[in-house]
Amino acid sequence: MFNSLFGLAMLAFVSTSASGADVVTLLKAADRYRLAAEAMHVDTQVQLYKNGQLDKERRYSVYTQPGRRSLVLFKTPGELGQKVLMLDDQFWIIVPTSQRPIRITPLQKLLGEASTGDIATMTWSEDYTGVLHGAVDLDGIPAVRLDLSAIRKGVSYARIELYLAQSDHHPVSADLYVASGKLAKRATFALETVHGQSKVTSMTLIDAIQTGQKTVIRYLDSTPKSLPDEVYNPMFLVRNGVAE
Amino acid sequence: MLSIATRAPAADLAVNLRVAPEVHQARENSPLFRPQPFNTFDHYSSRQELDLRYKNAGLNALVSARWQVHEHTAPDLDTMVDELYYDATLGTHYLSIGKKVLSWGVGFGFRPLDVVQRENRRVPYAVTQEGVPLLAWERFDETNALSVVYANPRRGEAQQARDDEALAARFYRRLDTADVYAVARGSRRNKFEAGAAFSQVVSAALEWHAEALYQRRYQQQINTLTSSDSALLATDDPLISVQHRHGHKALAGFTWTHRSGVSWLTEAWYDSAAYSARQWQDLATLARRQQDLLAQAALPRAAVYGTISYNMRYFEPPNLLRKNTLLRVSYTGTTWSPALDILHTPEDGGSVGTAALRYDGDRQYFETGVRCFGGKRAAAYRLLPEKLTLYFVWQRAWQ
Repeated sequence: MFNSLFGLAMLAFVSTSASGADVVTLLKAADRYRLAAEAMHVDTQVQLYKNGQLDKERRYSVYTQPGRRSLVLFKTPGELGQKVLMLDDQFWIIVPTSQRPIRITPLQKLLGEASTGDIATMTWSEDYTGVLHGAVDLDGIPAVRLDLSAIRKGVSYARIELYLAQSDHHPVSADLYVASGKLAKRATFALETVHGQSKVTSMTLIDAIQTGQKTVIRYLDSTPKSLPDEVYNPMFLVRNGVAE
Repeated sequence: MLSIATRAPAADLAVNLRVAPEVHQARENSPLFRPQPFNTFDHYSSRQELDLRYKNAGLNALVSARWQVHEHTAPDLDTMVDELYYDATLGTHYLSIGKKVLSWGVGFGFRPLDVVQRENRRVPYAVTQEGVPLLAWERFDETNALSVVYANPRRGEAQQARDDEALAARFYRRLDTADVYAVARGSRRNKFEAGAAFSQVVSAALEWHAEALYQRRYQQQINTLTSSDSALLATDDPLISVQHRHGHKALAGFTWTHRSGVSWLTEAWYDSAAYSARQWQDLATLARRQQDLLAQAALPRAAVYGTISYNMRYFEPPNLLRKNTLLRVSYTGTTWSPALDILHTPEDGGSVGTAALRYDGDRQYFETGVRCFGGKRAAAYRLLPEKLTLYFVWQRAWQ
């Protein structure tokens, strides 16, 4: 009885006392489990499952830089040479047959089998603000829930309900909502110790709109890496050999 | 010091196999139709292509082997070096030398600013492009890019315009929500050409773009028999290249995308180098008069049909008529992606409709589609001795 009352009191305390600054601190702590440094190179594997069966497998090489700059290089045969560049809220796609960067809208970025936004966006603190909603129990993991709203127009999800472990603020799960308010995907995060550090090594996305569809994004290898500024010029990306 | 552009050099070899059979239905009542044995019209054809792309540091090569099968001719196998170039860095200067594909326009159905690489944008499915021999110097910073290209060195005015020696430059600037381009080109054939383009994302769903090009000179291939009252047959090629001054090409369009995956593209463009509706009428009149000659027993049919065949060269330019509009509705799914587009030529009421369905599998795709040529009776696309094309494409990739 005492424990329950204490829990409720703590929940009320957490809900009412959390400020915007607390949320930013929590998000930055959570981001570090996905992106250990500001400038990183991450080799990514994406597996698309339909009705429990592996349907497609894709490989990407992702470069992220401070200032919301990301570059995704497609590494799967058949897609080789394709690139997606994201600068703040602006997006370009380069297909090798055309050798021309094509400016695309945020909605076009979401199309296809794997949203490049899901692959390349590895932080929340630069894109979202929100409130700390309260403490919850997620299958035995004490967690806090953050209700996040996008502060930038180019992000894939307008609203996120993010659950972080109370113990160390690692991301546990997230409900991802599109601009219409509809739940688009439910994400869960797997944590492993790599080189002595706890890291998110995979993210599983259950599609809430196309039921029976699941995407597993595995971060195979990540190393700190910074690219020169000119690499983030869309015209430069037409040159082969860039960062490959 | 010369160094390769690659930051983390790695050799890559990728192989693509594409098989694309086509079925064609003839329009036998077209005045340009020629029956067997004077006809080379293929009721079926198939194009098999094996591409090998190799990249190692700054070296890039794309070699393809093509095996083509046509109804009335022996199978043809040839190999082509589509691209072979080296990208190098000299301090803050970037150089390319070799044969390379370059695309500078922003349009979907037509790209006036493709002054170096003239890509045929109206092919029903993607095919491997052949690059242009060039030397290129480029400079970049985060928001600007300047490219100077010396294309087809020492070729002068070649037989084909795409092979002309030319000096071209492009300036690019990235603004907040827009890309802007300025392009200039100098060549013996067209003299001076200059143009500009932009592409802007105005909302999460909407992008619009436009481009325009001015040409000091441009050319049209004109059949001299269309202006002759008496001569209807020719023993030599009756088409001559006619020079015109002050040509212009312009395009404007937008793309709207819905979150569901449905996209809508609309474009309209003008190309002064294309034929007018009047020129097509003159050609149709000529072809009908040439067909009438077949009733004269004294004239060899081969001579008549041989002369008629020259008229087919009117279908070679990228645009058949000056004014064009394109509507395209497509859906991008995780596996199935259908698309429907209609090209309309308002000057003569012609149209080309294409419906396609693509299946994307793991490392392979399959696409099938049908393209119909039609419109009003006097339309250029009704003059084409083909009613429809049915095509299938299967492509598999290895690495």
